[in-house]
Amino acid sequence: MILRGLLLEHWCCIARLELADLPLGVLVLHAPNRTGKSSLVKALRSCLYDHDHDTTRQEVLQAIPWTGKHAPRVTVTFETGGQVYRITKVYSRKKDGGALLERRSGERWLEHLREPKEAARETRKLLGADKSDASLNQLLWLDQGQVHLPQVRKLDATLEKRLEEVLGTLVTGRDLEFKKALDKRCDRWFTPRRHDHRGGVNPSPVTRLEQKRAERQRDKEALEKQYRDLEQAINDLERCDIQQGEMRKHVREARDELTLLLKEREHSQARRQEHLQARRDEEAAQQETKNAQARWQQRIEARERYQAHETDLTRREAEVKTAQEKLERFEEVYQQQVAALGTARLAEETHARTWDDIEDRRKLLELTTRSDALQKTLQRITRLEQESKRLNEQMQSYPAPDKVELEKLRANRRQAQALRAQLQAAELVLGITPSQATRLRLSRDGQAAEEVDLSPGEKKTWPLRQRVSLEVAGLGRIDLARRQENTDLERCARQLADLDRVFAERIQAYQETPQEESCLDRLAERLFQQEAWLRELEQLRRQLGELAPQGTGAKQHERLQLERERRLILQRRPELASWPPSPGDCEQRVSAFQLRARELERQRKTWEAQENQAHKALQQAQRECQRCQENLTDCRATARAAQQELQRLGGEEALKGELLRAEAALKCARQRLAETELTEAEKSVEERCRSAETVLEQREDRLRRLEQQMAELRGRLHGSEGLHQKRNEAASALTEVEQALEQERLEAEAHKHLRELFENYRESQVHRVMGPISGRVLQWARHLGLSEYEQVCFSDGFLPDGLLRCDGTAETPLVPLSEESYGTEEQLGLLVRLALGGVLARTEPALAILDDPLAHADPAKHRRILEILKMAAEGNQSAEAPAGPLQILILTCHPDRFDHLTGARHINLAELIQREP
Amino acid sequence: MISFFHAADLHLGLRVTRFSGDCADKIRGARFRALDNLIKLAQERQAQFLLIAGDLFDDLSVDGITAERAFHILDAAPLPVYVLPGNHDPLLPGGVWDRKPWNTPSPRQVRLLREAEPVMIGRHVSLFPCPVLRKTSLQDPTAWIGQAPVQGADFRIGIAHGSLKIHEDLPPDDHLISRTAARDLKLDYLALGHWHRRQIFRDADGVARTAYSGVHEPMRFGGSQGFQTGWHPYSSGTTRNEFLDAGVGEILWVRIDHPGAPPEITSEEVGHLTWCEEERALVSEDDLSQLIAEVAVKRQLPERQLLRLKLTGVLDAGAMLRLDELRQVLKERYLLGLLDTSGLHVQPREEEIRAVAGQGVLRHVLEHLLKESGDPKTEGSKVAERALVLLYQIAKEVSS
Repeated sequence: MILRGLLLEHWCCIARLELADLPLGVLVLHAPNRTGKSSLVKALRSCLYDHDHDTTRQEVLQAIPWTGKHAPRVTVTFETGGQVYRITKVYSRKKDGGALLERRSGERWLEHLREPKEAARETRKLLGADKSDASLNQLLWLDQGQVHLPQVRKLDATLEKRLEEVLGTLVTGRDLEFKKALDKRCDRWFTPRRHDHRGGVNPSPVTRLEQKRAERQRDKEALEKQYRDLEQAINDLERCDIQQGEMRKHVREARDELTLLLKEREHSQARRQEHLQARRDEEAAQQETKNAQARWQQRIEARERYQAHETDLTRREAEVKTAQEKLERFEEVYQQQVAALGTARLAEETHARTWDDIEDRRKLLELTTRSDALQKTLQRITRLEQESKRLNEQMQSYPAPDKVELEKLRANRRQAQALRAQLQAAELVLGITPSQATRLRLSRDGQAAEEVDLSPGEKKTWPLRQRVSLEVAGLGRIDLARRQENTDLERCARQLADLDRVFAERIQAYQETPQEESCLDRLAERLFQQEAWLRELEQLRRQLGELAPQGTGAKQHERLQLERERRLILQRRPELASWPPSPGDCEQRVSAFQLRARELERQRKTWEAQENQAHKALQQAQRECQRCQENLTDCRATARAAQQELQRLGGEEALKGELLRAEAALKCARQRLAETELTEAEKSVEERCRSAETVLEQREDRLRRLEQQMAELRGRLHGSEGLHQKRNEAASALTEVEQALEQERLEAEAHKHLRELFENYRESQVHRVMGPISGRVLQWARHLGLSEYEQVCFSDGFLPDGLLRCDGTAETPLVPLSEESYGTEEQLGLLVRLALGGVLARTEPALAILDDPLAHADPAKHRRILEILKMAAEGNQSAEAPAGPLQILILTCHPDRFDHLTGARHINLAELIQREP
Repeated sequence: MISFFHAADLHLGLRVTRFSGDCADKIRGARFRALDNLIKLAQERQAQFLLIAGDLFDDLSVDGITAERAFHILDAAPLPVYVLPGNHDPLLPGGVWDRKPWNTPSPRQVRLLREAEPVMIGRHVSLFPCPVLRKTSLQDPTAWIGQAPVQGADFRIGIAHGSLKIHEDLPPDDHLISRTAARDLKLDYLALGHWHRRQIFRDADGVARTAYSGVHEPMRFGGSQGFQTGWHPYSSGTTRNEFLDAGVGEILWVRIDHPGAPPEITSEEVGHLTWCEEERALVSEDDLSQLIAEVAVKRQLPERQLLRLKLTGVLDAGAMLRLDELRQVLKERYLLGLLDTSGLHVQPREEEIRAVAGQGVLRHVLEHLLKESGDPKTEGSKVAERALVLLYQIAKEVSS
């Protein structure tokens, strides 16, 4: 449907408006605010769809002008299905109300339906919607400020059906119900993360069964291992059984061999005893011979040692004697050196005592010098103190205010001057010039009355603030006063009096006259003089402080102290009273003393060195003498010991005889040993017996160990009771779990497969149906400058869920329109509306009403979207989803923003609308 | 004349791992029930003794309860029972024979044949036992009988456990027994164990003196070539047909009139459970309903049946949803009911497709799944088939 004409009469504020011959394409209806643009849209909605002529709905009642003389009348001419119709509604429940549907035939209008309700119903039927916000109007008729797209669920059923007819089926309700049920069933396996009631992770049944299978598998493997161990134990036992027989045989052999050897050993027992005895005898004789030889040898060595010790003793005695003589000589020399050193030390001490005299003289010299300097300082201090006293007296005799006070006095005068000027300006002046001599009694402003005598022609004036009372002899009393007392003047006068009083008191304190104008200048001069004196006084005080920081008394006390010290020295050394203190004399005496002291010290050190050397030589001689005596003592002891050993060893002849006897016995024993020598077999029988015993022990031990191992294996075999049953149960349990797992997996995979298939087909279905719309919106969006999107995504409805960014990730795949800015959302929404409206207008043009659109678009985007509006209005029959032309009605109060819309028809409603008076 | 029963390979404490624990316990328990049947039958037939030619137990480490239960049943039997250790329960130290009650010095009726030496049964029968001492052996266990001192008995009966060397491809360590052992060793009867299928061998003179008795209780589904229970023989030739029982529990009743006379050998059934394996082709929901009715009502003693049903054919989607009903019947009525639907495929009708999928996305999904599941060679066709059934199931739930 497109709009061809409109006539409004008495609708809201509009007395009359007629729009005729409206073309296809873009129409811009512009007018200032409150002209009636929105009322026009309401009239259109009401007449075509929403209300009958006799409606009592508030929207229509409000449309009746307040003058109420005429019923609102709306006539809409529209074209649909190649026919032009005209519906006229007069909104009134009275006789004048009604509705008429007409159809144009050539140049004439033919009555189509006269009955009002039928006419309205037929109109709605012709337009294919029951309400003005239903069907395609839901998308294309936008009120002011309508930005958001409708929700998918709230898409009008008629519109959805029309879209299905044109685009194809998307997803049916059955599909959605199925998907919901399938998702619910899939939750059993594929919920992202499950949590049980204790907060732990609750795995899927497949995982649970896999875990259970792993447990069962472990159990089974453990039992199978036990079974393998059991079989191994059986094999081991068989092997051991064979080994046991062999080992027993070996043990028997070893035992037989040992028995034979024991018999052989018993047969050779007597001969081996005899041989052993001969060997022991020979060894004893050999030992005895060795002992005799040793004793003989010791006797010879002891005798030689004794002789050597005797010789050494004689030599040691001679050494002791020589050392004692040397010690005596050194003692004598040392005593001489000690005496000489004592003499030198005494001379040095005597000379040191002469230093006290020099010290006293130097002290006297220092005291005299310091006392003279102190006397000069005291004289200077006295002069400075006299000068300070003089300055203080001058300052006291010539007082002056300080800077602050002087400034206060100046401020006082400035304030008084201002007040005085204020008073003078506000004062009244009473002037009297008598023609004859007259006596007056005058009382002003509450002051005491004064009597004034005036000569004829003499003019006299008096200032007044509030009132005056004048008594003129012969005339009477004249009172003159302000009607209302001026309190400001009184307050000023009081302040001025206070200021004058304070000023006079302060000036008189400095013996100045307050009435003189120069009194303040003089006080300033005084202040300047006082400051100069003060600086001078400060300098004197500083000098005094430098000369006597602790006061003059301290300096005098110091001088007396010096004098006391001088007297003390003279009392101790009266001979110095006549000594005139001289620095040169002092220095001469010090020099002579130091020369003599150095000489005496050198001598003392020489004697000390010699004494030290003599002492060391004496100590050396003492040690040498002591060592010789100790050597002598040792030598004597050694000689005595050698003599005692010689006596203990006995005589040489006896020892010689003993040696000869031992050698003869040894010879006899060796001869006997040779006679009893054993054969090789007799020698080795013992060893062979031991070896056979060892072999037997080892074999018996091995046999024992084998038997232990067999016992252990038997024990393990006995412990295997029931293992078969356990294996059976474990395998059975595993099989049971595996079967359940297989079934559960099949179920899970089947559900998953079903869901994936559903998703894939749903997506392809949506893509197939909505692909052209998506492509058109995307193309327009790019034209608009929104190039960051690569796809407009639809799910289960004909309205988009959002847009997919070019840089979109799996985590943020989709950007809902509502997340865009207000302006962009409005623009994208408009593109979607135009795209869908275009495809529905494929067979018949559609009307779009945009009331004050694109209020939030920036100028650049606004310009581009106008181009899109133009494209949408023109339609595109050759596109994948052919789009028909649109009639786009734009209502705006900013006509300039649509100037760039080439080809659009601009209608100034302000010129056409006749307003109600 | 002597009369005795010959049984073997009882495999008490059988290894069953492919079924649930409860079911496995019932299968193991059934083997004792069959043993009871055997004893009762022997008593009825007034047999003089019973020979068990090896593998009384499934393993030498069976649990004490199984060992004791077997001992008490046999020891309480009204006839002497001679038990020979087999390759599953060889006579090894620490094994089942080495523990109570089988190491009891003087039992009442049961006698374990521990030594390869003649045993006298009464005054006229000489028994030549060939006990198995290990799982595998290259020796002929009957070889010793040739060197055994000749007794004065009239009847010579051999009892051994091993593979009769009837062809060349037998594993050499499987206790091979000479094909002509009975004749060579002058035995009136050689009772053998080890192979699970009943087999009777004739000597060159045409007299049957050597026999395997079969098993007293079946241990697998008869129609299959495998065991399907998790059991396997302790022999290197595990896949040989000799180890596949005939699907029935049976023993041999042997009677010999006089020494040297041909034995009269009769097979007797003593089994407790029935192992059934069936394949059904279904083409419509009616077939399925009929099958459900049959397994739910018509079968005898279902609590003693292990039923394995393999279904083939093509059903529509609605019928496929009724398979759960069949599963429920099998589970509730039978000792074990297994349903193999790998050969059964779903093919929805057009009206079903319209009713379930409509014209939206579901329709496309359904068509895709039909294509996927239609080709069994496609990887994931099983998943696709299950997904298809699921689609119907969910769509039905949603629409209801």
